[in-house]
Amino acid sequence: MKSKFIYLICLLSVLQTGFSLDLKKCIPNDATYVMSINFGNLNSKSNGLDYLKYIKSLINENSYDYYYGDGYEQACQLVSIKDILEKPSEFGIDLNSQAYIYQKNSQLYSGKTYLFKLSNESVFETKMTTNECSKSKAFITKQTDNGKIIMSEKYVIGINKGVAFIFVNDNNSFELEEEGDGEMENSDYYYYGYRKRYNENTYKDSIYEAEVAAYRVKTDSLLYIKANQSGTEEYSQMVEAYIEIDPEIIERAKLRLKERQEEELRKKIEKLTGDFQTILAEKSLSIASDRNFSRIDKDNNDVIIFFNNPMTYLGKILNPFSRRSNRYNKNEPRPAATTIYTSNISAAYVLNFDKGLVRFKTLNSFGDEAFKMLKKAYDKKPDPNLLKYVEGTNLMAYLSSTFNTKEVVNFYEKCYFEILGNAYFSKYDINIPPTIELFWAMLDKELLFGTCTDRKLFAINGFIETKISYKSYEYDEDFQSKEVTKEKIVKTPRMVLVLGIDNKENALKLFRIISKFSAFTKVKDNVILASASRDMQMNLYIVMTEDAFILTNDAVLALEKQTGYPKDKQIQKEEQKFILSHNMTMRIFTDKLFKAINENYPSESGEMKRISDIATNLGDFIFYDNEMSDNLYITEGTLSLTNSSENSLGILLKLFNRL
Amino acid sequence: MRLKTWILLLPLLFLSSCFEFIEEISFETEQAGTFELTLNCSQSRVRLKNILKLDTFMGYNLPEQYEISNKLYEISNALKLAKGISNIDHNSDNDQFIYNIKFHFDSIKNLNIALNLIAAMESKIQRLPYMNLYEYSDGSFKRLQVPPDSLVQNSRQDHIKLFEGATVTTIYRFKKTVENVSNPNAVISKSKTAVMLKQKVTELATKPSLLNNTIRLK
Repeated sequence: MKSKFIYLICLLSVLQTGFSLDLKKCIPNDATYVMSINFGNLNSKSNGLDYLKYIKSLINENSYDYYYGDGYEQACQLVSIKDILEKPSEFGIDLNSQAYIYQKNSQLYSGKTYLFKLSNESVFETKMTTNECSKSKAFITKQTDNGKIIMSEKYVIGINKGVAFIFVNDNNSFELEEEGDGEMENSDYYYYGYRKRYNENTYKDSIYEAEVAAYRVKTDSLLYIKANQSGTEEYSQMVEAYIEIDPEIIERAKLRLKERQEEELRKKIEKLTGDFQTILAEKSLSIASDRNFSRIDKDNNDVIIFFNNPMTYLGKILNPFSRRSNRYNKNEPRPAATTIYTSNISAAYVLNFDKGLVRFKTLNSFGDEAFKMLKKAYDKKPDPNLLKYVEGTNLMAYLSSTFNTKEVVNFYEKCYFEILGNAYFSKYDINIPPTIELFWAMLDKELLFGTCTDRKLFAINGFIETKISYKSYEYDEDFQSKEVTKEKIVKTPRMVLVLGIDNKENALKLFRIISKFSAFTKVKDNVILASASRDMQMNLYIVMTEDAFILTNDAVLALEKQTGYPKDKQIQKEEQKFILSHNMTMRIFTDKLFKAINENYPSESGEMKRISDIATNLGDFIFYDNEMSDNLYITEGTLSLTNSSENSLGILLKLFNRL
Repeated sequence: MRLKTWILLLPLLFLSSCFEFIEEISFETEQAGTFELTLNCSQSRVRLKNILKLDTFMGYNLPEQYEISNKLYEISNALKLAKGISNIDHNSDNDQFIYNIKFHFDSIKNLNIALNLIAAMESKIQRLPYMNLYEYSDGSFKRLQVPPDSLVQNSRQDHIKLFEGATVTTIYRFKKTVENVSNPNAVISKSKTAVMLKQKVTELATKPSLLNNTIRLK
């Protein structure tokens, strides 16, 4: 008997596992971005404190449809994601597991989809079908092979095997093109846009709706004749007269309007059902099968944001004619797309909260050709000689970056011209791409990118005092005022930026050109100075040494330490080793920095007290990259906290709550 | 621009902690004279310039620099219609962040009305009650306390602390000689025809009566 019971339990659990959906597999592989939040992890790490308010503040549910639809009206909210996060149990949502958000853009629609595990399907369904919005606005429920769909113009809600799918349309309504539009001439595009907006079948604003309602009221009631006979032409008076005699007439008119909207919606759902049925099911081509996504999704991360092929969207930004070309070429065949450099690119950001440590990671993957070029760019190593220009005694923060700028620019050049090559240009714009190419070809790239931009080191190490002047007043014996110029000492962080010189001849040429600007005065043959002014509260020195350009506000370094600091004054050896072993490194000695701010700008203000509070809680922030391999460029960062016995999420929430 | 923006233009200065607000009255008779207000933020100009590039700062809307000058212009125009007010002059030094307005008044009553007019222009949302800032009676000139819900008090206390170093100075010049003053911090000039009082903004925030003064004239 006992063994039978165990067998039954096992069978039930196998069935349960067999039937429950893998949320990842429900996300299409062409999603623009995917965000995964492991609520289970965050719940256990937050120490009972409310972290959801920060997630809620990132959710924007009130998108407007600026072009079509209900004339700037906000759509009726069938479901609020913020409410779900606030009261998950009221919605039957299991907010103790992983949830996903993804964006999908297609020819027919674009919008975000939220995927949640359900703890109670029927509670969720009831909540969706009995709220105010579903009572007053058109919505349709439909049973499909892949679960139930509840659809309004703004939302498509799916319920399938214990999973809630909430699609939020980017626009206030689905604007499906009428048949025959495809045959339109390109030159008619603007007219078409106008016509479409004001087409009586698609355009619905409050006036139109009122007219429809009035029409229904008129035709549906014999009272119309009576009212008409009374000689009144005022619509509102007429409606009032109707309501007095037949109070339900408006309700009936509203109901008819809702039925009419549902009729329209039903037509749309026929067109869209195919698409939305598939969102409810696991797919063979899902994001789970994407190599780049799989790489980051295996470690039970707290939060993941994954951008799928961002070049497609970057392309729209980088191509200044994308809006114009999209309008003109709606139905024009595009040139065959070449995507050697711009395809198979993804960017991912991963965030994890550990004991006393916040860890984040970025993973950028590239296609083969792009990777080859970038690998070559990042083969360049940091220069140990530049470290001598930074005094290490009071080091509070530094950033070191080394890569072959020419190679990186070469990569972006290829990407950009590939994007332009794949874009459609009207006959009026056809000469613009070669003009850009010509302009680019004429630039002296050796001077711009081969002189001093490969090896960079920036550091903040202490504070220096600078004298600045200001206007004030002095008073004579009779308190008559006189405007005078006074001086005061201000403290500014001591900063140094070192740029390694790769081409001495070009560096000298650049230095001579910059020296000619009126903002600079020559202090030495190789030192120029931009004095503190009303726009810049510090003196800025530019020094050209044998191997570097130095930009600093530190007069001692600029004038007396041009060969660098002695070894015992430089950055500590361990730190140097760390800097030299990565192309990119950054470290902020957070406690040291905040303490220095506190000491140098003493104040009783609340802000300064908060800074002190932060300073006592934060440790160092470290950021570095890894060697490029397997088509990946990975950077990692950690923020350590002084309390290493508690989870960092709980500590940070406590800190934020105090601020 | 909202009153809040104007009130909180001042807290912007607290990062550098230094500005001067100077209120001057030079009497030509017992009742008539010249009134002058100066806001000098020259010491903080670099930071102000940077802060004003932001749309908001610490949750407050920030005005553009030209809006401050425009506001002075608006105030000047409004004062032209005020009874007993003449010779209105205003200056904006946007490089040094020094703003000044000066006008002649024919009586203390009209001066009070003019100052209330300015306050009303800037308090469309949160109406301020009518207040007499100055009084002259029985040979005494009085600088009265502004209501406790004054602009400065409306700001958050922890923000006010950032005004360290900022001062408000009042200077009153008379044709008669000054016999005595009620405020112990006030200083009488050598010629005994003027009185100066300088107070810290941080102290005024909690105790606006620090600017109160009754000046007894001979």
